[in-house]
Amino acid sequence: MSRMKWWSPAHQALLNALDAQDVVPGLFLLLTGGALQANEKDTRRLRDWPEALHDSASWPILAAALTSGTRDHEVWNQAQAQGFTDRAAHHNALLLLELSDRLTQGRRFDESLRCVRWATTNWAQLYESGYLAALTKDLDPQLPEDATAEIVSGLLCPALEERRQRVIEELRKSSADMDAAAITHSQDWFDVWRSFTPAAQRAAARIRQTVAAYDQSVSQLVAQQMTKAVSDLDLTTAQDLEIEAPLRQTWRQIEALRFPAPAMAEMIGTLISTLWSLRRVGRDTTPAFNTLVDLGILLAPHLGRTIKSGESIGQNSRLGDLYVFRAERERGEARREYLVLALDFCPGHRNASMLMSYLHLHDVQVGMQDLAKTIRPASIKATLKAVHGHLKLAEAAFPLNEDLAGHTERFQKACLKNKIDPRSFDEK
Amino acid sequence: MKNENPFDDLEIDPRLSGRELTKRIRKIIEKAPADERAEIQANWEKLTLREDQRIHHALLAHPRPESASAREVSTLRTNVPLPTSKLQNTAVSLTRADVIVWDEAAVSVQHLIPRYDQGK
Repeated sequence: MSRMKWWSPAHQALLNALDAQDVVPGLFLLLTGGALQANEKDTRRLRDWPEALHDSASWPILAAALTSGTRDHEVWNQAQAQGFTDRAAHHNALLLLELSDRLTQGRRFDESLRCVRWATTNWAQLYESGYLAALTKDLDPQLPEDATAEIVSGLLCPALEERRQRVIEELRKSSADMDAAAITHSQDWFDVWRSFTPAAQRAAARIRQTVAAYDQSVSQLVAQQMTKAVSDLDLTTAQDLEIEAPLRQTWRQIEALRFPAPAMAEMIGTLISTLWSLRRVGRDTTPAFNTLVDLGILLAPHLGRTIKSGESIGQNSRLGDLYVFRAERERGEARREYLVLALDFCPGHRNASMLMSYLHLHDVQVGMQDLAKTIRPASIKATLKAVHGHLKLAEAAFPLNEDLAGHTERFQKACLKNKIDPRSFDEK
Repeated sequence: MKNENPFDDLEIDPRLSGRELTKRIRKIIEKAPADERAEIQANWEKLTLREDQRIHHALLAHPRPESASAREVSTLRTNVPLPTSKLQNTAVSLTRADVIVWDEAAVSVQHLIPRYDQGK
C-alpha cells in the first residue's frame, strides 16, 4: 500500500484495527469450516495479524478466499504452501492451537484436528527459522543460552499437559458419563503431536517426552481403576454384573484410547487372572465368565497386532490362555481355529497343545470308525494312513496326552488285522 | 489451550520490558474498576515475579505492537491527525489506507476500493 509522507503510527493503528474487523471474521470461518465465529475480543486481539498476513506470500490466496467467502480448508493448505512470514506464522501457530481447543469444546473434532495440524506446521516453522529463540533474546538479552533453550523447547508442553488433564478427568468419569468420542479425539490430537518433529532437537525431545508421559499416565489410570475395582470384588459372591462392570468400563476406555499397548497388557492380565479365579471357585459356566471371555476376544486382535509388532512384550501366554478359554466353548473346527490362534501367539501353550492333541485324537477316532465301514483294501490303507497322520499330529501337539497310547494300540491292531505294517506309513 | 495469557488478557504488547510492563500495568490498574483490580494484580504477578514466566507468556501471546493497539476504533479514529494534504496529490489507485487519511471522503469513494487489498 502507498505510504504517504504524512502517514503516522495513528494512521497505521486505525488501518490495522479496520483491517482486523474485515479480515479476522472471514479467516475464522475459513479456518474452522464455518464452525466458529470471531468475537469482538478476537478481532481486537488479532489486530496485528492481517498486516502480518499481508506481508506473506500467501496473502493473495487468502484475500481471494475472503472475497469469495469460501470455507474450503484446501485454501489454507494452498496458502500454507505459499508460505507465511515468521510474524504471521507466530499468529497462526497461536491462533490455530487455540481454535483447535475451542473446536474440541464444541465437539467439532475434524476441524479441531485440522487446526492442530496446521498449528504444528507453523510452530515447526518458528522453531526452524530461529524466530522463537531470537524473540526470546529480544525479550531478555541477558538471558543465558541454556535458559533460552529451556523456555523455547518447553513452550508447547503446557498445552499438551492441559489436554492430558482433560483426558484424565474424562477417564475418571463413570461409564455412563464418560465421553468416549472426546477421548478418542484427544488421542488423535496427541497423534498429531507424535508426528511433530521440529528441527530444534531439544523441542522435539520435550514434545516426545510429554506425549510419552500422556501415554503412560492414561494407561496407568485405566489399569489402576480396573485393578482397584476388580480387587474390591469377592468373586465367590459377587453378582455377574458386578464382575463384568469394571472390565466393561476398561474395555470402553481402551477402545476410546485406540488400544494403547500398556493398557491392553494390564487389561488382559487382569482379565485372565479373573477368569482363572472364577474357574477356581467353580463359576466358569456363568454368564459373567463368558462375558469376560468375549470382552477379551474383542481385545485380542488389537493386542495381537501389538504383539506381532513387538510393541507388547510378554503377553503371548495370556493371549494363548484367552483363546483357549474361548475354544473351550466350541467344538470341532471352530475350536481348532481358536487353538490355532493360541498356538500361533504362544507356541507350546500347554492347554492349547493338549486340546489340540485331543482334537487330533478325535480325528483318529473318526478315522477308526470309518475303517469299520471300509471294505476295499486300497481304501482301508488310505484310511489307516490318515489315522496314522492324525496320531502323529496328536503326539506332536502334546506327547504327554494319556489317551495317545490307547489310540495307538487300536491303530496298530487294525494294521495287524489288515496285514499292513504301521511302520510303512513312517517311511514317506 | 485456554486463553488465559496475561498479555492477551491485559491487552498489552508482550515485547515490553519488565520495567515498561510494570509502568503500563500500573496505569491499567489505576484506570480499572475496583472489582477488576485483583485480577489485573494477579496477571501482573504472573508476568513480573519470574522472568522465565514473563518470557514464556510473551512467546505465547499474539504480537501486539503499538500499531495493533487494542483501543476502540472510535478512539483510534480521533487519534488520526486531520488531513493536511491536497486532493490533487491523491494516488491513482486508492487503498484502504487512503480512505483512512481522507476519512471525510471515505463515504464517497468506498465503492472504488477492493474489499481486501491484494497488493503489498
